[in-house]
Amino acid sequence: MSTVEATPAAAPKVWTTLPALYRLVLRSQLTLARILGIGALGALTVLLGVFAGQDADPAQAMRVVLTFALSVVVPLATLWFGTSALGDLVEDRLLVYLWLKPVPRWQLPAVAVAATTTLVIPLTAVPAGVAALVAGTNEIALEAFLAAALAGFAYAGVFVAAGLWFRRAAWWGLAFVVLWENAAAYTAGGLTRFTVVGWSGAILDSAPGSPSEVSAGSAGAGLVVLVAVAVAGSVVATIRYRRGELD
Amino acid sequence: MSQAQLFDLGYREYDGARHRPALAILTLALFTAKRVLGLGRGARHKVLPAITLAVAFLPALVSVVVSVVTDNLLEEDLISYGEYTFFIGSALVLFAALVAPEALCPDRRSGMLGLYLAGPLDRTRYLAGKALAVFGVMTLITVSPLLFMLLAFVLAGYAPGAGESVELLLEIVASGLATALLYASLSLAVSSFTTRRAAAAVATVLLFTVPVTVARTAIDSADAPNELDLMSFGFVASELSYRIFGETPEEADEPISQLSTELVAGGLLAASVAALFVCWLRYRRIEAFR
Amino acid sequence: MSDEPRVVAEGVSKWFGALVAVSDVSFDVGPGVTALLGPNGAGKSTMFRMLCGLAKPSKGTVRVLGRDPRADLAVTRSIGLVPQQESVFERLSARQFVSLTAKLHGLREPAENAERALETVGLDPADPRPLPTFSKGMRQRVKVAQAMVHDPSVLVLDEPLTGLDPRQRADLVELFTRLGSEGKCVIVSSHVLAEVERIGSRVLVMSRGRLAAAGDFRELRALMDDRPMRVRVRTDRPHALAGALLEQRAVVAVRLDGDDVLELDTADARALAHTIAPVARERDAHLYEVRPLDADLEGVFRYVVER
Repeated sequence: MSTVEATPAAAPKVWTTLPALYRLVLRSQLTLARILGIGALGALTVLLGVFAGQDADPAQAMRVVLTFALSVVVPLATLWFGTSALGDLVEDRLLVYLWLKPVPRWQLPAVAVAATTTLVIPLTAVPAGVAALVAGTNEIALEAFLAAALAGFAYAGVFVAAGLWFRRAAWWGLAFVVLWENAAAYTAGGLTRFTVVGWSGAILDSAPGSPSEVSAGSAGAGLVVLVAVAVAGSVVATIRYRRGELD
Repeated sequence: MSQAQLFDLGYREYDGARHRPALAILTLALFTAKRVLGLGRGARHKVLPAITLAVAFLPALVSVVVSVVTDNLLEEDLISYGEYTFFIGSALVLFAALVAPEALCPDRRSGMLGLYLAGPLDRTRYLAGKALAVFGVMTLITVSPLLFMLLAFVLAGYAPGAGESVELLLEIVASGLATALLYASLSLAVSSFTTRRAAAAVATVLLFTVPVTVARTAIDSADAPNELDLMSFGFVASELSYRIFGETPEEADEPISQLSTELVAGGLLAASVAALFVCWLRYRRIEAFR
Repeated sequence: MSDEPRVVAEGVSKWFGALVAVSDVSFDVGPGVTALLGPNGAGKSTMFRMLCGLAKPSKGTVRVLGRDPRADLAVTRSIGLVPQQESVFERLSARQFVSLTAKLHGLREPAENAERALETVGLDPADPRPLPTFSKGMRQRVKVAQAMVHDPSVLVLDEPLTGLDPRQRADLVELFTRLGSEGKCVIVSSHVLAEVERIGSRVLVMSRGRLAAAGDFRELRALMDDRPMRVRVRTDRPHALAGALLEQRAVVAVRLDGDDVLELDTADARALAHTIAPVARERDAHLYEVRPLDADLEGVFRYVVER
């Protein structure tokens, strides 16, 4: 610690910084309350699958269950994790410890999206698939899982960006989910293609029996759009992060 | 010659009258209400409350404008008083998710709760002040749009006679207060469990969206009793509104519609009381000093 | 050891809407310790944030080692910051936090460097407790460790002594002094002026967003010619000495305080220093104490910010 002129260290390697940032963000999001809360939602989804299996028309009942999963569970779970991924760092004024590092700015937002998705998929997408299985509608289980997983990925991009751009990101996210994703997608057909739930519905709808209440287009287009939304969210978050002055 | 005097400008004790602690509750309630509405703060603090209020007022505004433009030639009101609560359900949830977390969470997060409790407010009085504030602010959104509609129709000459208008006014107040009570108490209960506003907001929305799906799926698919639909809190409030105004919802085959008015009202009251009790229990145990 | 300025601010201003936080500040800081002082709200923290590139100046430029800290990521390798805020990562231990910093700076042995940094500030690297359970002083030392782990040549320390007990403050003051003498550019702000005085004599004083003074505070004191210096004299013949000193041109005013103390106001401290002993001898007065009361940093600070 006593060199007079600091020898600049080599630039940090991406395979060192990405995992370090990922672990940090994941750790900060992984609280018992969140795991139990979102886990309970996932468990509920499975329970609803059990109920659906007892219905006279399980396929029809599963439409309701999967609508619940895609329009309530996945967006709200991702909202909770996503807005807090970087939003909590801003609120707690800890971003300075990450900002003042020779790490390319895109890494932290990208890692936040990845960490959010890592948590959302097992807690919400897997239960969606399991719900389809326990309801006896095995033929839609894979599509249910994929639709929920890709929706979670897309929402992660949106909400991580929101966490940096808005001070009350969670509330704006709630307004987005409640007023736009739910109201617009299910009531105004033309607007469905501008919603995440519309495109995740498109992926779900590719399953036998078209079990989705809404569909914005083809499953292939849905895949492309949802991934693009996730990436765009990460880019938008990076733009904000680069400006600094976050706390 | 007048007597010269030197005045002591240092610290002086207060010898004047001291009000009862009840006034401290009212002061806290007013301060909290102003804070959650962004009054006395910058413009950006008013944006979210303003948006939600606008969404809540929109149906009333549209109804009034259409009635005036068409000279009330439409056979039925565009939106009836009874169905208004159902119509603005999303705005109610969003408003509750904004107001209660803002009222409760920052005080615990910042340590202000300890300062409040160091004065004449004990935990119960503190909560009473906060609950009063949240309830009062919620009534803005549950009562005002309907009052606006009634007033507009009275001024335009489309309202029923004086007696009926007074009855309508009482129904508006009753329905608004009941709805505000339910939304306020449930969101307060949720907010008492976390210091982060974001988590409380999300959990509030979940409380109004998850139980309804569980209850209705259980009722539809697993033959659960209709009474389970009392967990569909948003629908309990809107159903009670219909009953107060003597109306029937369009989709009258929902499980909640099969329940008696006493049960619906009792369910609303029970949920509200239980939620407030949970909130009070939480605050008894919270460590107020950091 | 290069004496070139490491941190240069030129015409820097920063405003937030109608609020001007920093107004047209220019200075350069080289190796050694420089204190950035100012009352609350003077703009010190805003200035620090601009020096580190955390905030963009509304006007003017900031250069660290000749580069723009906002545009050039590489220069962050040479900057260590102890921010003012107390918040810490809730799920990390001290070692994990400092190791993370080391990794993000690209150090090859992050764990070892973290251990060394923690030991330097007097903390146990093996302490597994999460940071929120640390006392205020321990958290402060962790912040200093993370600022130093990558051996930066520029250290920006915003209130680094807050929450520390006297012994801990003394240890850190000694550390900062050593770092300054080793050629690092250390910019520190603090309200504990007595300790800042021990760290070094170079100061930048900000007041109401503007730079009010810059340089060695002792030289600044000499420039304060519109404010007489106050000197305390303890003697066995205060009245006699007071009368004699009033005849000296260097003495502007004399106050008697108690049985054996005089407080003199002098416009020329150097002249007083030459005359006080002979005058005392003439009046047969013993001098037990002759001490300037406001030649310290606090006196300079008060004069500069109250102008």
